Amino acid sequence: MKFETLRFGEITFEESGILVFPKGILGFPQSLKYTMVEEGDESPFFWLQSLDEPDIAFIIVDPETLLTKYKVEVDQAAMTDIQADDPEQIKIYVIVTIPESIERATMNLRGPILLNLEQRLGMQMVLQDDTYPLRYPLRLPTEPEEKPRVGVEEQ
Amino acid sequence: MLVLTRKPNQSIIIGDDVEITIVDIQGDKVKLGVSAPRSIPVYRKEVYEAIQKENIEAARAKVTDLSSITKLYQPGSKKPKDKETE
Repeated sequence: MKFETLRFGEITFEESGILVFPKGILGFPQSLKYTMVEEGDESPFFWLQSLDEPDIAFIIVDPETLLTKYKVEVDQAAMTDIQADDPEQIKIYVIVTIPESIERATMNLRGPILLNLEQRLGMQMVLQDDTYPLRYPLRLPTEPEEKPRVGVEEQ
Repeated sequence: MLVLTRKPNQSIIIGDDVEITIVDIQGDKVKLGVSAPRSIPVYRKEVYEAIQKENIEAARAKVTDLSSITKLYQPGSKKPKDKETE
């Protein structure tokens, strides 16, 4: 299948690559279908490209590749939305925001993207409290082995 | 918007499944209790709007070349061998 996108021109994908977001992503109710586009073999980053609107695409990253202490408690509403019976079936990504310069890139840890890859369903979960920030710097490590850690505030 | 006046301990019911109760009123703060099935998410509006706004900002990125951040995450160093536990 093919789709003409703003950033990548025409992309080709399999029907099995289509992810349905029954409730879309907050702020973009007009887009219900997405597909993941790889950034590159070595990259932990992906693009979540809309298959409804050519200009809608998000950079996402698996937080586990960058953070050690990010734990999302998936609530029942989220499980229902993506027809998951078990949190183990859910793959979590976070959206990366890149303002004027790439060095200032941040991850949204308060609105993770939850994917049920088996059912090809997705949704964005809104975390209720401010344990995790809306904008966590990618904090590019000075050495490749360093991994920035998110501290969880002890109450 | 439907505007109703309630006193403490009074409630409103939305549809068949959602009930909102005025638990307490103190000064300019109203404590609300929300009873809804677990399948219905309930948010503070400003949190919901903040996520929405951040998404819109994120979708704005027209940059397609992520190679400058990607090259810092070399395959060998993607994950430390031992995850730190505390």
